[in-house]
Amino acid sequence: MSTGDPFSLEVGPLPAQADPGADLLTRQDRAALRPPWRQPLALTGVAIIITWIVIAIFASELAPHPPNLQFGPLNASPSHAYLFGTDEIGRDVFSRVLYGARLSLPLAALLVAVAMVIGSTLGSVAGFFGGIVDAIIMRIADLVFAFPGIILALAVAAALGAQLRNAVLAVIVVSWPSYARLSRGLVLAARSSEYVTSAKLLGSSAWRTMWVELRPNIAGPIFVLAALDIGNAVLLLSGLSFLGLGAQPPTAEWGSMVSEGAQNFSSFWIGLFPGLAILTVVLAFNFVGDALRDMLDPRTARMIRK
Amino acid sequence: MTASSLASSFASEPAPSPGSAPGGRMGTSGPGRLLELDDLDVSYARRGHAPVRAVIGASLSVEAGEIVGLVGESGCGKSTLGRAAVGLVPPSAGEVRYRGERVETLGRAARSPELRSLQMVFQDPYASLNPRRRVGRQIADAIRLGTGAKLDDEAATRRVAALLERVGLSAAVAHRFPHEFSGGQCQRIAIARVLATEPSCVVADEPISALDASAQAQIANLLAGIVAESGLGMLFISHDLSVVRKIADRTVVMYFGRIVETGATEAVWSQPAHPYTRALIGAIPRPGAGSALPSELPGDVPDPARPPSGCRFHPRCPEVMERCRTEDPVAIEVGPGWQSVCFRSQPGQAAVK
Repeated sequence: MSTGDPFSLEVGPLPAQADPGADLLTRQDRAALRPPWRQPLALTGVAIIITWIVIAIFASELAPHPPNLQFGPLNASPSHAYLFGTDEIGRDVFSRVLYGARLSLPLAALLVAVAMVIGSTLGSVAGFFGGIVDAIIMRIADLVFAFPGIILALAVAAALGAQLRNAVLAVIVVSWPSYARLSRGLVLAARSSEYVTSAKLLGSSAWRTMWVELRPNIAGPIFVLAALDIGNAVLLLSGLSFLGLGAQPPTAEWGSMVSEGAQNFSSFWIGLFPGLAILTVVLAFNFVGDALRDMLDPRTARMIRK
Repeated sequence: MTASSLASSFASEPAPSPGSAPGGRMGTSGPGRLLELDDLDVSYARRGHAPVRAVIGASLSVEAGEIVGLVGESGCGKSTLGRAAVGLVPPSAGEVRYRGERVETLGRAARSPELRSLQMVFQDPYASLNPRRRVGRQIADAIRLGTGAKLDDEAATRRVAALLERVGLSAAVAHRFPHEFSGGQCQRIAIARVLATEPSCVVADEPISALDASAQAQIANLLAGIVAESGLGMLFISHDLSVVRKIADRTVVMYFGRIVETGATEAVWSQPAHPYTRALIGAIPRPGAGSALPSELPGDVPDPARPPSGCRFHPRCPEVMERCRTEDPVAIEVGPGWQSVCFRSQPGQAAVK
């Protein structure tokens, strides 16, 4: 606060907040509030994610061979010439893993973004208006929650047809309810606050209140959930491809590569390396998401159960 | 902040002229009467219990250019009355009129433009400002929403600066967030936001209770100055009797959901007619009163779910009579514009001694 402003005539401490106990930081909270460079897991996660993004962007430069070129010996084990070996029709597994990043990462980010927008919009509307609107939206969300995600995604993808695009749609269908539930809770907590009441007294419409007044106040936890959800989305998408409902051969997609590897069990490298790729990406996003959640206000962090 | 600097910052503002409201209704509402509460009841429904009647048969009016102080103990219904007055709480009986028009309870639809000049200042200034929006933008939105003015960004910035200076803040603080301010400063911003709508009437619900002592006086003076210069009407709700005595033109005393005494502040203070008013005034600590503690009322505010029969004040009243236990007193005109709801009050007599 700069000196010389006319309001420096304010003296005395700030008035006590409504609930002083709620602002006390426990030891765990303080650990969570450590700066990022003191959170090794989060740093590792960020490093892995950046590495994969770089790989996805420069896959064509980094990969020694085109992903679908059948040129090498069949089922060659990892060696200096073929870093991750070759698969049963002579494609370079290393190149295919690198190209796989071009599919999994952007698709996961896209579907999480779409699920976040749809889910948080529906959830905010449900929380803000309440009543029958709330009941309808949240019962649909409950319906989706009632199924294990992969089972419902399987059903949706199978109904739409085995295509990567349909697998993405299927994962969106199973992902939006968690955003709806979270944003509904946040809106319910915020809508009775006095700043919302003030805005309504000023003549703010319901939509303006939601978009202008509430959105900046509920965005934080929703973004954290999205960060946590990207790993989940990668896993679901690969899972669908693994089961033959996502990317179709010969597309270099990690899930379908693991599936091919599972059919050639003696050549472990065909499935192992794409599997490791999935593992590192999912772990990395979970590390980052966890760190972000811990950096949130501990009271709201509890609402994100993942 | 002095009165003269307030006056100068007001000079550039077109003061709203509430008395000349277009379509002002004739009849019961006088020309200057801005806000009228007519036999207002507010009840809160409770599952499995009888509803709690928070406000019972309250009638009061606020005229342009006056401050009506509403005092009473915690839980007496004064905040509920204030919220009902701006349409935040639905009345269960009676009605609230603003410029002669009925005040509709705020629902999902946007508040009607005619009502937007009836505004409210809240108790907790931090809670009433959006924590994630810059204060300048919040005030600019209030100008656009409240007055319907189509302002470009540059004009809005100028208006916001004028409003911030009007409440004693620097125009440079517009880009800050509410958490960067003290409670008193936040309340100034909340007041600036209310002023942005060019209000004719403001309900201030305990606007100084959450502030520290020095800020309390500043905010009370600021509000009083605004009323003096812009001619808006204000319902000033407070449990701080000394502030009400200082700034209010009329004082309304509430006890347990009922208005028990209404009158010009000086009269009510010098010769309180109702025993409860006397008890309230007696409870203020005075310097120079020696070691004597302020007199206290026996007992506590009764359970709202089981109100006492007869006069609601009778279990605690030092002057209770047999009649008070069974009959409900009605308002007695003890002086011009001065009413007391007590059996011991006599018409035309200033006070019962």
